[in-house]
Amino acid sequence: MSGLYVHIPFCSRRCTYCDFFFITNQKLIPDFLDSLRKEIRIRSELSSVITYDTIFFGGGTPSLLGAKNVTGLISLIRDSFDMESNCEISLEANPEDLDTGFIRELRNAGVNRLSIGVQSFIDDELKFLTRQHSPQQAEDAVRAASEIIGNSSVDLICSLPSQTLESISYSIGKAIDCGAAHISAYILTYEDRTLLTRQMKEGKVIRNTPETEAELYMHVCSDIRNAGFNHYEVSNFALPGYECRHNKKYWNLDNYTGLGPSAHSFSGTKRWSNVSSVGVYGERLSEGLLPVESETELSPDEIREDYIMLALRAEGVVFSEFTKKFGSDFREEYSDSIRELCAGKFAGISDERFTLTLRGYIIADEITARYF
Amino acid sequence: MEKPDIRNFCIIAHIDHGKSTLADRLLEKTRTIEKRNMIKQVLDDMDLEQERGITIKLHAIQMKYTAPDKKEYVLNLIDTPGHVDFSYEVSRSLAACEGALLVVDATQGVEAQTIGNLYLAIENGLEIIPVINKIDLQNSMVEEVTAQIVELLGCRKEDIILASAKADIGTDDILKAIVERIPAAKTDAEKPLRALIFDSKFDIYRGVIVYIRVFEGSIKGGDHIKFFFTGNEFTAEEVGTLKMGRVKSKVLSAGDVGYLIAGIKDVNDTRVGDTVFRKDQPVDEPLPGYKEVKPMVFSGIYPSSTEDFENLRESLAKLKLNDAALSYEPETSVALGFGFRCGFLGMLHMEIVQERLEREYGLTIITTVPNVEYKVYTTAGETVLVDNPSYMPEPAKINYIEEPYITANIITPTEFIGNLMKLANERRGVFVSTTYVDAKRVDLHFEFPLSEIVFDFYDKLKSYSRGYASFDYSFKDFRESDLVKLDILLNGDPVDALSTIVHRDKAFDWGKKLCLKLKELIPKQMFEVAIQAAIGSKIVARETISAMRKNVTAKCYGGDISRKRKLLEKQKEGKKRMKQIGSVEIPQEAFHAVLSLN
Repeated sequence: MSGLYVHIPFCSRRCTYCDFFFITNQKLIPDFLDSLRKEIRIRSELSSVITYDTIFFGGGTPSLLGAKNVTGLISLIRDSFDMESNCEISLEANPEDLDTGFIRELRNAGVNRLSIGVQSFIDDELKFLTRQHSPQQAEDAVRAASEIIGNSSVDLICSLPSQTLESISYSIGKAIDCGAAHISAYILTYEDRTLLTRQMKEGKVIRNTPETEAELYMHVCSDIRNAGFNHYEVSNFALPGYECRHNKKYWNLDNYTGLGPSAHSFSGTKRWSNVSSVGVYGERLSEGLLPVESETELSPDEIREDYIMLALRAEGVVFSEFTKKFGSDFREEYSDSIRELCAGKFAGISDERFTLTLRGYIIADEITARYF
Repeated sequence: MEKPDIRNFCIIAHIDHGKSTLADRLLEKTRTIEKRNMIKQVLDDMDLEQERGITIKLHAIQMKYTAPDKKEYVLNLIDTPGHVDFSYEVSRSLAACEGALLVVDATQGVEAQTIGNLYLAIENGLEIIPVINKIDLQNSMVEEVTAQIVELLGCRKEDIILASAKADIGTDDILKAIVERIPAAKTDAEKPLRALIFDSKFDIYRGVIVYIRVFEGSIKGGDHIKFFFTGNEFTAEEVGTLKMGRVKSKVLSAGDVGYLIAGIKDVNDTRVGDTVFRKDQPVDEPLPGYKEVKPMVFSGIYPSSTEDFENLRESLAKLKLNDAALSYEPETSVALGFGFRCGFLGMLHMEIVQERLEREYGLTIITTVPNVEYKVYTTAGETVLVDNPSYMPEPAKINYIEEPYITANIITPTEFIGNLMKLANERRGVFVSTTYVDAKRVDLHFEFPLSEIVFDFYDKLKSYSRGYASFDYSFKDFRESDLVKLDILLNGDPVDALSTIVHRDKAFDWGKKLCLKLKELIPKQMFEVAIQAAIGSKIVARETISAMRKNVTAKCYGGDISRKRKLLEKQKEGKKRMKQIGSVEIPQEAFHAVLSLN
């Protein structure tokens, strides 16, 4: 079963910490949608044998499209591709876009999971992040989404310069209180070429020390875990049964097809990505060409490394799965590092799988680099 | 045809006083080379030499000079290495000459190597022509420097030629002085052959090219020849003179400087300073001054990744073809695996070898902290030579240890005497005497343990004297010292490649500084790391590196796994440059920590 990712490259404005690809000129939406429809048509003709069981509208801000466009896209996708009947359809949305009417329309269009870019329920923190919504708007949106759709996910950002253990606990508590079934809690990343990073370099923003980042992250994890959530990836938590099926495909090395500018795809041994420029994307499609920019065929070693890297960030390496995929016994092959990591309480091992502990998650890059 | 008048000479100078530029000018003036073909400083033809501005390997070149009286002369310029590490080679190329141009920078005055090289030239009985260079510079001090030279040489003021090699001032005077003042080479071709080897170099097509100065007799292709000290025998294939390249000739006879090719496969068979003679005309006496060069400074060289070991072995073998002074023996380190213990003439020689391995042979190498060779007298009555700290016998088995001492002269403006005395004191220097070069500058004589000048002494000397002091040294003798081996332990495991031998009085301080430095250099690891310094079983210092707190990318961006992958690959690359010791990863710089301690 494959996943379908649709990239909607529009935002109303740029947040200082974001380095994702998007544009703010919303006049381009109709042309973009034309191009996207062309891409859907070409792809559907190429891949008739693939069945999809997830659609993920990411961005950008997909909620900017409005109900009519989302509805149109979903029905076009259903008509064009072979879709599972109980398909998971997720859509990323900003709280300020989510009034009850809109949410109902999304539900009617088939959206059954809303991922809401809340980031924080505290006004000062939202202002620091240059977000457009107020804490009240966030609260209202999450409550409404939880009631109407029944499956809402809240994005939170952890380790803001002004954040305290209390303030992050408050936001977590609010999310859960409003009915969120899923929380993604990301440690604030200082990406190159963002305003935030420039502010940090100029000394206007003081970045937390790794010790503070670690402390806040640990605190967040235990808070959310204590509320009964399953910690199923470094930054992702879900009530049982509410794990994001689409995101798990990335982490399980399952296939996915990306549509839209800068979208990424994977099919067993090959990764490819689309051009990022919306203009070039449109031109290529108007010529009847796929907007693919680069394609990489992975070597067996690279596939194996990717598998370990992603599995260790998520629910661990499953021994039977590893043997099936790569023909060798993970426990034998990596006995030294397994022993060392378990002894240091960075990982745990069961009959079934090898999993990082919380202590391991926080240095996951250090650990996974060992398998490269 | 009558043999022309030959003048064999060299140029001696302190580093950067303009030796190479002057050589360029002489070659141009004598039309040995056209101006437009001139690469700056043609004699320094190795890349590294050009960059460092020092002539590392000596060469020779022949010029034809027509004097103002229309008489033609052959001038052989023999180039000399410009650094203290190579003083034996300098002395041998001086021995091939009858005269020397002593070049002194008009803005700097007499420096330590001016004097060091001058003494070597005087020992070899050379006629000295003093030249003050760079007189056209604004800050030149022609009068002061003239006085210094008069004082130093006991010559007359009028004997000194004022020049600027860069601006081509005085070049004609210099050429004139060479033929007028330097004695003509004796051309006694009737005696049995005696020729001095003053250099050799390996050529992949011809084998070893031997540079010789014929003192008596003659040599031609087909001659059966023998080397006096090594006893090796060869048949001369080709002889010739050295212009911009090799020029084959029928014969080289007394007075000539040229090359010899004799199917020699290894530069080690051609020792600098050896005497060449004909097998059928044995000589009783070799030419004087032969010495076997011994390495003074040692360091472990290891491939960064173990699979490069064979590569490293081959590269060292190739370097050795051209560098008889380099020695290497395989050795094993618990920390670094398989590598070589290499011996060098001095620090510069070591740096050159390391750089050539990396640059010319594309290797990534780890070098351990350099050390000198110790004579260890054991309680069992044996004498053991130790050139690797980790092979130092246990303290209980040592009766006493001797270390090499050097004699050094430091020339400095008088205002820095206090500073330099302090530096000498820090480095266990023994003050010997002071000589005044002129009213403002002194020549300080010291004796130092060689080990104390191996680490950053030169940099310290410069910073203690605001760059003004200069330094020259030569080996003196072995002396007893109270030395101990200082070990470094990481999480309790000794790291052999980090062991050093230090004076007991300095051991505690060093241990402390070394631990601190390592704490700086070793990145945080998954576990806490304890760094300890120990003498025997006694811990003298300790530092702790706390465990890594966070290293995780929060987000795996919407299916963009390759971005994440690149990040980890980069991290992996970083790890490749580290050495794993027990559970601790050590970056390569750590093996040099001692060098940047003070």
